[in-house]
Amino acid sequence: MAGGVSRRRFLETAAAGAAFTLGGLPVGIGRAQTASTVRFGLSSFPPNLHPYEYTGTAALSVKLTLHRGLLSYDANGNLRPELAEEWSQPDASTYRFSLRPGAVFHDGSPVEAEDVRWSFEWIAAEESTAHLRADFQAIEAIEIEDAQTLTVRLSEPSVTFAQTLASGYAPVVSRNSVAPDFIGAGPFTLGQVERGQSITVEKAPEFVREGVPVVDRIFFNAMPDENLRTAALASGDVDIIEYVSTHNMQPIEDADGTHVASVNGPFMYLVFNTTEGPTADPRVRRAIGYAIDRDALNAFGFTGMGNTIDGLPVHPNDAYDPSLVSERLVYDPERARALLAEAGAENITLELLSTAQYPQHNDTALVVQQSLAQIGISVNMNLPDWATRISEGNEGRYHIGVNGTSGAYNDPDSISTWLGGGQSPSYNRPWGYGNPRVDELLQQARQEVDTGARAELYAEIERIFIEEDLPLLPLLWRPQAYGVQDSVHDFQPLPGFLVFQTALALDGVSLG
Amino acid sequence: MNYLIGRFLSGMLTIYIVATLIFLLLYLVPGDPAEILLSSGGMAPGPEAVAALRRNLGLDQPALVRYGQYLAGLFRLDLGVSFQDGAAIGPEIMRRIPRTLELIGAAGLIAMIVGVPAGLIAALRRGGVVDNFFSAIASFGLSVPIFVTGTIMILFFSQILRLVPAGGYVSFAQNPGQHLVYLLMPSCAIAISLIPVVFRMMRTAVLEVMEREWVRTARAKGLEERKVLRRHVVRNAITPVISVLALQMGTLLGGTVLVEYVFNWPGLSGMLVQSVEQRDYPAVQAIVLVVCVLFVLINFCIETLYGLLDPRIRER
Repeated sequence: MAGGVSRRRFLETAAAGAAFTLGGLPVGIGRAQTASTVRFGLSSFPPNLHPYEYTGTAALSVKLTLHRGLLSYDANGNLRPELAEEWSQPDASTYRFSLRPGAVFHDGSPVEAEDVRWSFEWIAAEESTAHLRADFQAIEAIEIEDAQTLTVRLSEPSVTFAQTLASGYAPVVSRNSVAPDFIGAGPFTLGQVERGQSITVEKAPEFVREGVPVVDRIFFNAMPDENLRTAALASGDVDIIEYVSTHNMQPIEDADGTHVASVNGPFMYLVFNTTEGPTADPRVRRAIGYAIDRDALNAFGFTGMGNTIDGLPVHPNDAYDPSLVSERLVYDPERARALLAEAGAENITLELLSTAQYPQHNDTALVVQQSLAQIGISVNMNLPDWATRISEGNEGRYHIGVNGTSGAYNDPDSISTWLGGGQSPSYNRPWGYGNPRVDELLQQARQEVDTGARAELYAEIERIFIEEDLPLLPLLWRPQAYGVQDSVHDFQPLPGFLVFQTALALDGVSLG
Repeated sequence: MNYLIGRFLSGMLTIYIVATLIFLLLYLVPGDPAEILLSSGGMAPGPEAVAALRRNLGLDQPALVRYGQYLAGLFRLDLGVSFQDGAAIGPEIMRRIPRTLELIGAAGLIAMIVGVPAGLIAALRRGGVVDNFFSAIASFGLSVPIFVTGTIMILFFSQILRLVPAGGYVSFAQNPGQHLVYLLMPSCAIAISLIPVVFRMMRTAVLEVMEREWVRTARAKGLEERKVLRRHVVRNAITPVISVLALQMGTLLGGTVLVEYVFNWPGLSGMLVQSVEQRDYPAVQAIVLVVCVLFVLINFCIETLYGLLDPRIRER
C-alpha cells in the first residue's frame, strides 16, 4: 500500500479510532492476552475428559495435555519414550520398560510401576468402557521388578503393541485415582472449566521432560461453527484452530499473519453390505470400485486438496509396498460396465447411507451417485443426522455407506480394524465381511518381525482386497488442517493417522 | 380461589403431559446415546465398551422403569445427570438461563431504542421518502434470517474491521467490559429481526393515536407539537409496542439457537443443540421441560392477573 502503510496497520488504526468513538467501551479487549497463553479453537466441547474413552478428537486434544502414557510420538510420528525412560522388546511378545526417575502425577506422587499395572488393568477390565480394551486384553501378565521397572507379557506375539501403548487412549494414571477423576502425569494440569464453553490447562510445575511445556497455559475455546473458528483466527481471537475444511484453507493461507498446517491424515471410503442386496456379489462391488471418479470427488468435495487412493488405505510405511501389486483401483467405467454385465446386475438400484450433517460426507455421496449413474446404477440417498447414520450403519441398513475415518496408528496393521473378520458389526466396517485367508495373513503380519516379509504379507492381502473381495472402497486421503497464527512456532500436525494426536505438539509450541 | 386452584392444576397437568411426551419422543428418536458418545469423529467403539456404558447410564433398563425413575426424579425436583459427563443438569440449566435471558433482554432494549424513534419519525412523515426508506429497511431486516445477519456481522466487524471478537463469552463478574463486548454482536443480530416488529407496531400505533380526539383537543388548546407528541402520542402508542415485543421475546426463549451457535454464546439453546447431537436424553428432557414450565408460569401469572382484574373470567 502507498506510503508503506499495510492494510492491516490501516485497519488497526481504524479500529483504534472506532474504539474512541464508542465512548471508551473497551472494544477489542477480547483479544487481550499474555504472551504465554496459547488460545486453541476446538471444534466441539469435549463430552467428558475420561482418559480411556473415545469421545472424539476435540476431547483427545485436551486429554493429551493432561495425560501421558509410557510411550508417545515425536513430530515425525516415530515412537518416543514418554513416562518410560527407555524400553526394549526382547522378543515379539515381551516388552520391558524403565520409568523416568522424577516423573510425578499431578497430585505430586511419583509415577511407579504399580501405577502402570493399575492403569492397564483398568483398561482391560470386564466392565471397562476403554477404547483400547480389546487390545489390552492381549496382556497376559505384568511383572514388576521394582518401582521403576516392569515387563509386559502378551498372550501372543505382536510387533504393533508399542504403537497401542503410545496411543492417546493408553495413558498411565495414578493408582490413587477414583474414576472418573483420573490423576494424570501430563505436561499440563486441569485449570478452569467453563462447561460447554472453554477449558484452561496450566503448565504442570514438575513435568518430567526437560524444557517442556514452553507456554504457561493453553486456553481451549469450543467453537462448533467452522465459520466462527475461521473468523476468530482471522481476527486474532485465537492462535490455532482445528478442522479447517478445504475451501477455507486457501483464504487462511493467503491472509496476512496466518497459515495452514495440514497433513493428509484420514481417508474417505465406502463400505459395502457384503451379505444382502446386489452388493453381496463381489463383482458388483468391484464394478463400483472402477466406476467412482475419485478425481471428480477430489475437485468437487475437497477443492483438489486430497490425494486419491488406489489400494489399501495405508500411509507410507516400511512394511507396505504398493508396487508389489500391479492391479490398482482406477477410474475405468468400461470395465465397471463389463463387470456388471458379468454379474447380471445391470439397471439395479442401491441404497446409499451417508449424512447431511458433514459436507464432506454429503459431497462424497453426491459424487458417488453421479458416478454410478454413468454405469446405469441408480442410487437412493439416505442422509440423516450423524447419530442416526451411526445407528443405521451399525445395523447394516445400506448397500453402500459413506465414511471418513482414521486408523489408530500408521502401521499397516491398522487395516485389521476394517478388514478383520469376527469383529462386532460397526458402521465403519463393511457389513458382514470376513475372509479367513485375510484374517490369517493379518495375524501373520502382526507377528512377523522382519519388515520385508511383512510387506509381502500385506501385498498378498492387497491382492485379495483389490482382485477378489473389495468389501470397502478407499477413495481419497483427506487433508486434516489446522489454521495457525504466524506468531505460533513449532506447531506441526503429526503425519498420517497420527494427526488426531497432534495435541502432543502443544508441548513444544511457543509464541512470539 | 377455586379459579386459582383450577388454573394451577391445569398447569401441572400440562407440564406432566409435556414431560411424558418428551420422554416418549426421545425414545423414538434413532441413535443410541452410548454408541454416539463413544463414536464421535469416525472411530467405532468396541461392543463391550458400548454395553458397559449402556449399563452405567441405565439404558439397559426397561422403558417403564426408566419412565418411573424419571417421574420420581421430577417430583424431587431432580432433573438428573448428563449422559456426557455425569454432571447434574439442574444447576447447569440455572447457570445458563440468565445468559439466554440477558441476550434476549439486550436485544429487546436495542430494538426499542432503534425501533421506537424510527417508527415515530416514519409515522410523522407518513408516505414521505423517510417513511418509505425505513419501511423498506424494515422489510429487509424481517426477511433475512438471523444466522445470515450474524455471519455477515462477524465477517464485517471482526474479520475485516477487527473491532470486536468474533464470538465467545466472559462472565460479567470476571470482566464487565469484555462481557459487554461479547454481548454486543449477538444481541444486535437478534435485535435486527426485532426492530422491524417494533418499528411497524410503533408506526401503526402512532398513526392511530394521532387520529384520536384527545390529540386533536390538545392541539386545539394550542399545546406545543413536541409536547403533544411526548405527552399524548408516544405515551399512548408505546403500550401496544411493549406488549408485542414482550410476546416476541417469549418466543425467542427457544429461538436463540442459531445466534447462540453462530456467536458461541453459552446459553440454554447451545446446551440444547449439543445435547440433542449427543443424544443426551436427560439434558434434552430437562431443558425442554424447563422452557415449558416457564411458559406455563407466565401464562398462569397472566391469567391470574386477568382473573383478578375482570371478575367475569372467574365465572366462566
